Amino acid sequence: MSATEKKEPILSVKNVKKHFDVGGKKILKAVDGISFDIYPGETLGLVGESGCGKSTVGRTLIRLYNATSGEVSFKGKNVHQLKGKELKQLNRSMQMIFQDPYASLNPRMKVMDIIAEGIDIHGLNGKKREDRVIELLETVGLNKSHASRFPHEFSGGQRQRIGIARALAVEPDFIIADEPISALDVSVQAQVVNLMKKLQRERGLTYLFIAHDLSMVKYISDRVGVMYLGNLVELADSDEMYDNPLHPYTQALLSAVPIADPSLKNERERVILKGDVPSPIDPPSGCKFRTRCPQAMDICASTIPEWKEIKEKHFVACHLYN
Amino acid sequence: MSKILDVRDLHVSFHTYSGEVKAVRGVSFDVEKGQTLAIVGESGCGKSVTSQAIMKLILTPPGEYKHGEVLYNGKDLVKMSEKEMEQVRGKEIAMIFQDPMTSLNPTMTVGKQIVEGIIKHQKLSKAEAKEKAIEMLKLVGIPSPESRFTQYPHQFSGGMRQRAMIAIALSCNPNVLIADEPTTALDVTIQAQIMDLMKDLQARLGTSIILITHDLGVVAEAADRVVVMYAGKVVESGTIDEIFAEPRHPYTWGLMNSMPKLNQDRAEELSPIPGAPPDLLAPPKGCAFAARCKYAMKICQEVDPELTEHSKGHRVACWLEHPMAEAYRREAVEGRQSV
Amino acid sequence: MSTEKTYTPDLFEPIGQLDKRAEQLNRKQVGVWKDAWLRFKQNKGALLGLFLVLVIGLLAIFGPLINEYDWSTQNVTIKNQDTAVDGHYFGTDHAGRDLWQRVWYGAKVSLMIAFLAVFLDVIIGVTIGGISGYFGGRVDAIIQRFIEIIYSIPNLIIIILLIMLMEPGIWAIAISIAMTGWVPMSRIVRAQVLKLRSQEYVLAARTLGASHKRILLKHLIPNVIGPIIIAVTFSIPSAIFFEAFLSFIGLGLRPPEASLGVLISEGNGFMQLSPHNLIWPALVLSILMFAFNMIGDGLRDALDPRMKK
Repeated sequence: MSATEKKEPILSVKNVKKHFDVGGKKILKAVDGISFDIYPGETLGLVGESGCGKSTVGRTLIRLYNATSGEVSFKGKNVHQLKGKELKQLNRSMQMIFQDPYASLNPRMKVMDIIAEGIDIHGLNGKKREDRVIELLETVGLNKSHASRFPHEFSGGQRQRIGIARALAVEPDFIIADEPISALDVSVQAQVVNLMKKLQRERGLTYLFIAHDLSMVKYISDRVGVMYLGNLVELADSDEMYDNPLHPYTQALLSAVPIADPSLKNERERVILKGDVPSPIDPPSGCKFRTRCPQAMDICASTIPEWKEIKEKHFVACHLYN
Repeated sequence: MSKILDVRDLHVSFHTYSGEVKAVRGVSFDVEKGQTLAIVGESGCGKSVTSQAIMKLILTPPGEYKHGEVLYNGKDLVKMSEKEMEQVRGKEIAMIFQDPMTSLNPTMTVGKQIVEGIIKHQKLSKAEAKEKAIEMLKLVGIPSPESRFTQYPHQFSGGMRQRAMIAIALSCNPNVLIADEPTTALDVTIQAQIMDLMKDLQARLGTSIILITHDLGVVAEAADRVVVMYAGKVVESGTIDEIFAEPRHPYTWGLMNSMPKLNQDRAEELSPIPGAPPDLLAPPKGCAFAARCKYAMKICQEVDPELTEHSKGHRVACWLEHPMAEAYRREAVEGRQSV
Repeated sequence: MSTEKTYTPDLFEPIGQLDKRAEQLNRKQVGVWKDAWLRFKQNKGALLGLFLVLVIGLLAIFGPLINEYDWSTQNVTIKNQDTAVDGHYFGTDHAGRDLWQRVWYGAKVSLMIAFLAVFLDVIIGVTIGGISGYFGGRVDAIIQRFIEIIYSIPNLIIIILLIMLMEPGIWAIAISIAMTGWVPMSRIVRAQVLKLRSQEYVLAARTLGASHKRILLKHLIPNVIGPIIIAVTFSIPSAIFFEAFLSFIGLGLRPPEASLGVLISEGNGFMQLSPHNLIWPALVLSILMFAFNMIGDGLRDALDPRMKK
């Protein structure tokens, strides 16, 4: 979205760290100093393998976790210092969609009450509660008859849309979608993605879309950030990222995605990474990716690569580009 | 090519407190020697039950083999006793599962778990079995196999465990390997490693593979033939090129269209399959997919279509295949391409 | 297709209206509790248990209305009758009191004590377990240490002290049973809450700005009810048994008051001459224990969250 240029960011993340004490004097550095901005109306995709800290980023932004250090400012205010009225306002304007459609809806509540939760908490009136819920159900492609049902009667895709309706009830501007489709069957993932895109068009929502499915992320995001072991390694416009990935990790990640087209099977060159992701409790020195990097150099073990803008709007942290 | 496994009209049900769940409702397919057959479908379509039924791993009760046969080299596995099956499992047909965390025994060293199978099926001494196990670990690409041999599963990472599972499965040179979502729980970079490994081993050992998955990308890269399942039935089967280049069932179209293409325009909408699969406690009278099918006709709600051969080896169960629906079918195909 | 001649062209009309068709819920609408009942019904033992509890419950309430005697009037002329004559269905005891009346009156008292004790268990256990699990960290650590201290004192000592302080009566016994009985309940609730508080629906409520009170009352407690009910059905028989035990060793109700424990204790003295004095109350006690345990087993299967999809 070219309109995002030169706008003030809606959310600005500066050198945020989130460390967990895992006992025995060990510290798990789930997020280890990341910085990025999100502009109004855009979708920023955040990808990476499990354990890279992408979900922790989302939860830290919305205050489910307190940041160990660094600053998250949302609309110019430091999220982690808000209290009282301002905190309530934050709860309304920043919302979250969760990963597991089976765990994200309270099994003992009716759909009506699930969706109306935000309305009840914030005492939003104006319209009658029931009318508002029905309107939201229709927005997400369900209807009135679904309001009196319990979550276990719905399929995964339908539940996920109920979760979206719950978030929309407080009329947020910014939504963190934490792997919203990874627990869904392929055939219904698009139900959720289409809905999210429609809502963005109609309401100008801003998204942080956390996922590990790279093809879906490319489709939904304007810009994409790639994380590895608690750090961002690359950030660029999504077309640029997919056409011209710079970081060796991004290159490997993209080439590992299986493509549903047998005719391309033999044409693709694949970078198959060796080994597994190291433990975030005791990550490698220097560049954390060096242990699996096909192009690792001596400097990678000793020095942490700098986060630099190599091209316009294309950031990367890698010694190859120094 | 010869058929090594031939599944004919298999029906499997589960008896629950609220009634009989007809999980597999008449599935037929065959696997040829040295080939990879992929079974794809959404969760709950019966693909995993089918694979467990081949190995006779379904507990009865609550499960029940209602009908059909599973012919392995001409012998019907469904009729075999548990004792006879023990000789088949592991030695003739082996299986790897989705979750490498729970499919290894946490209280036994990885080496011992490999050796166990080898000693059971091949008359080798302990020392020979150990040697063979280390060789298997090396084969599946586990570094320093001698020291890994004495480690426990929790000392292995997810990808390593799946490698160890493959080592166990292949240690007795089975003719058929059933891989039930072998990479679903793994990250993409690890998934690529495991798929590569499986392809490589197949080329070397000539194993036939049944690959159960929901990921069409994995299918496209690994399979020779594809069976598409929906609500306990086969709706389409054919070679990989037939299924990807000329899919004929609206459900297969739906699966293909619901994923973004490589160069998908961001302004364009994806076309998901609306709704959700039917409840197999009370499967619908007609075609199970009719409720979610854009092209459903009256007959689809009344009569379940049979699996018919469109061209040699390419079979489809859809009323659009009927001569009376020919014009409508052409219209539908055009409509699909313009989307 | 071999049967194609039987189809007419109108069957091949498209039906359209995809949007309407697809979103229809194809699952039967079964409420959470109805679902549990369907599962419970499958368990024959649990149904038998439920039936027995209902029968004994009804007899405890209405049984005394069936003959014309009452539970405390003595009639020394008909001591220790072991046959049913003159409407003394269970015979009479050593003081010539009608045993039918005494057994059902005693069963009522025993059940009241058990229900009261378990009610107190739930109130204390759920509150403390809920707070401990939900807030976690320091609060949890302090509460758990406190519980360990209480639990390490033999409960008989606590009960003897309490009974000495209070008049032995229904309340005193119920409170003494509850004094230590709440601990297992609080542990169950704590474990459940610890597990549930990181569920995504609780996180969702937090991101919406829900207060602690709202999260506890709306999201956590309703989802802990299943395990609480199971624990209750297992606590009731143990409370009944404990009451009987206390009365038997002379710490509970005292004759002429009656409870199943008192009756058994009294009957014990005449076991050789008039065993019916012991047999009837012991039989009722055993059936109650058996029945509640069967119900508990059935409920555990019916409400176990692991069984749910």
